[in-house]
Amino acid sequence: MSLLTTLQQLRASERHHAQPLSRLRYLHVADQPMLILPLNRPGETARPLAVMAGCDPGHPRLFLAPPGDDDRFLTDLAEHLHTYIHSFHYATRIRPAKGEQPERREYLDAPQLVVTGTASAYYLKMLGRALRYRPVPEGTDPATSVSHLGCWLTFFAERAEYATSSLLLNLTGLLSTHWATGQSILDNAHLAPLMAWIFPPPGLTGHQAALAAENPLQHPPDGPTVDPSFESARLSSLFAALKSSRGVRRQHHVARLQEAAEDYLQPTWDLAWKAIATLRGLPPVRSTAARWDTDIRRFTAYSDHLAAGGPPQPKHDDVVSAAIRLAELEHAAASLAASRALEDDFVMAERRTTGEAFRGTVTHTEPDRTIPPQGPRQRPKRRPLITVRTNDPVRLEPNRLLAGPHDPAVHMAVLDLTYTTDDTEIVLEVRTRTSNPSSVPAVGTTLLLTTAPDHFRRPQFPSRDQIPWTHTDTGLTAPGHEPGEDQA
Amino acid sequence: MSSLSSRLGTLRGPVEPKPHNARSLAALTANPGCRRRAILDAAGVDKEALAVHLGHPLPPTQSPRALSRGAQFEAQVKDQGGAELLSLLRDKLHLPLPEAAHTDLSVLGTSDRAMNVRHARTRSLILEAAHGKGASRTMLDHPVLELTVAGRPVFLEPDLVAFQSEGIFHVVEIKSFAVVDGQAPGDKAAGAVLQGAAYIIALQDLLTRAGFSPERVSTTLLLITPRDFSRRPMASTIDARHQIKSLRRQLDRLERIEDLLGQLPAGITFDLAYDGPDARTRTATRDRDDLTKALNTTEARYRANCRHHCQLAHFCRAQAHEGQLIDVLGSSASEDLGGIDTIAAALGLADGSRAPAPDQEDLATALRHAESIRNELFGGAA
Repeated sequence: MSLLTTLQQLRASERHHAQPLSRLRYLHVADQPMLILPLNRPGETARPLAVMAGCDPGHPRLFLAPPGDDDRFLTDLAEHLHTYIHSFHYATRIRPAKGEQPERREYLDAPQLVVTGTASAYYLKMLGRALRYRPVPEGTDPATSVSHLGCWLTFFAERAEYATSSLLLNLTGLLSTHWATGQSILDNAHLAPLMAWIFPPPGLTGHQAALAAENPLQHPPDGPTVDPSFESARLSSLFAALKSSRGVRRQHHVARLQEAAEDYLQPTWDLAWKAIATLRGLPPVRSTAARWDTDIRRFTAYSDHLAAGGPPQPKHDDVVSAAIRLAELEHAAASLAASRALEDDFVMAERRTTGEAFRGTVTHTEPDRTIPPQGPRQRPKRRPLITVRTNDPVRLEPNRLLAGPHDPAVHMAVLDLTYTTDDTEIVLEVRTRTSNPSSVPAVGTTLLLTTAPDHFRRPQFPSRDQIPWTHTDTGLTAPGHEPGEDQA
Repeated sequence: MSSLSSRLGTLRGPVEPKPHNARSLAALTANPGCRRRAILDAAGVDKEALAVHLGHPLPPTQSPRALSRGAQFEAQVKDQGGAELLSLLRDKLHLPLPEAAHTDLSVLGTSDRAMNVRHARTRSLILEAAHGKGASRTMLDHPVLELTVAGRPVFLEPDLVAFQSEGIFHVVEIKSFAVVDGQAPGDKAAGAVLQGAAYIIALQDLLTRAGFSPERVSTTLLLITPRDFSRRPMASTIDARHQIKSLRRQLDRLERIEDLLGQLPAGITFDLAYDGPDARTRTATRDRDDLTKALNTTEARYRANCRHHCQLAHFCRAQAHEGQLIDVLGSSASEDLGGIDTIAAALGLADGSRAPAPDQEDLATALRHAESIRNELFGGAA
């Protein structure tokens, strides 16, 4: 986090309600996303007690898995999710051939799942793992099977690990990029206290509202873990009763379990839709559409994979896939940061506090400067010079390429930095679009500049049959752990 | 020593010290900089009772069903003389087949009063094995180990201690969280290793006191958990050396609690002044303001994750909020604003209304710069 965010946290605390951070959204918010609120059965691993899901804020569907009746729950949930996903399979478009890529058919739009936070996203990943290897019963359509439900959940959860993907939205994570609160990140990971700071009820401070939202019986926290107080108060006796009852008695207990699950999830459901509407109301940055296009392509590719009878995702990536994936994850995070800096005032401002960006005034230009030929057959090159003076604390090294929101395609290299007591003078050499007159701003112009987006060259990885023997036996990893941060 | 224990006794008041267990010992390594907790823990003060009396109880964090499922899993693994466990241990530790034998110490009783007896029996069985005498035993079930915490003995109950014919003891922990595709959930595995570290230290101490090398105890914890989504057990190994070191450091610190006690005003007590001896019916009559004053003589260091390991967390949070401490904003803000205590002070440095101390010059400059950018973005300081 930056000092700017910290300052907004301080202000939030002083003014008793959340303060804005970025005012522009970088992820896509669909017109009809599907909100999914999973609730795990206490003491089990990835075994839901209930899931509230649906695309209509006014009509949540509750899928209940009363102990002893998991299969019905899974078939119903699978049907619900498949109906939603398959509804995107009707409209296609043709993407014309480009370069080496042949012409391709693509879906027009993609489904979008929404969860309240990281814990729920991880839960969907584990649930996907638990379900995707289930056999498809003989004579049934694999496309509506529980196994495919597992594959899809895995697909969404894995895409969510890419900073650029909007296929699975994490509400508390996104809200935290737009608001600073007077509480810690740990507290912001829960939807109710976070929303309490953003929209405190009249007459309450954000802090008071967040404290009020802590009462688990009045405001059950978002899942997937059931709050232990709620479990003791509402569920423990029902679990015991369900164990021993049959027929009508059981029906009665199941109805009461349904009621308890609805009571637990409904407040979060309402709050989550309010959060979705709030995020949708933020204007998107320009590159948001392109990122969603990538998501649609991924969705198309995975739909094709499943339709062709492709296998579920493996338990472990082999070393090559793992390396590729890591490179892609890093690239996604870096390219997002770079494009946001050029499109979002706040991100640029944050970079100014860290020294990765600066705002300055053009004090001198040499638009017609050329450099001597680099080789025997080359001609002199046009390389205009610009001198910029700034009082931002710059932390840049020579040769670093910079770009600014005034024209992101113009890249200039840092040639020289001169520090004086009050400000810094930076000499820049224009490297791209050098013949374009707009690439050399007039003296007196104010410029915002930050590091230019890196060109991403995908590293070369060996093919699967050329993996050296030292890396072929992946084996099982012992459960790792991170030493606590306080142990230093 | 006796003056120390009488000093701690005064702090606690006329109640039994709150017994430590592996979980509370493991918590010692979290936020070790908090002096308030160090003193309360050394004196064996019931922090939960304090928090309830002060009106800041911590809501329960343990699921009743998860607890009973955990107990069921342990029973299943240990059923029939630990048949399932034995095959797992044979695999991981190469326990020799004919030597496999299982001794259950819970037959000596599971009440608190039986702890002494069970500890004595555990001790003699372990020393027998270490000497290579007596019947060959490979599994001690429900053993009781002893650890000295702040000068007082604490009984610990590991799930199991296994003995290998080459002479190495292993601590085995049975946990009900699943290890899926070879991966345990990070927070839970970390908790298990810390608890295991407490058992390993206790076992090391037992052997060193009898003249054996502490290296007779493996510093690798054996974790028995359900495999994937089944109830079938599997064994994993986790290196606990780091946790053992860090727990030892905290235990040593509790031994040196006198330094901290010396800084307290004389006559301070955290006694809740119960009106009777019966824990079920008694009421705490201690004046709350007076108790708060006493607590304020100890320096707390509130952190957002305190609630995971300290029952007094919500009280300290309320105090931090009242004092407008940076700590309520979480670790990243605390790191950014190192050396500044309060929100008002940080804002004062940012808007220039407060002059920085000599060691705050750089931070103040950065804050003023960030504040000017903030004003450009979001408008005036109103």
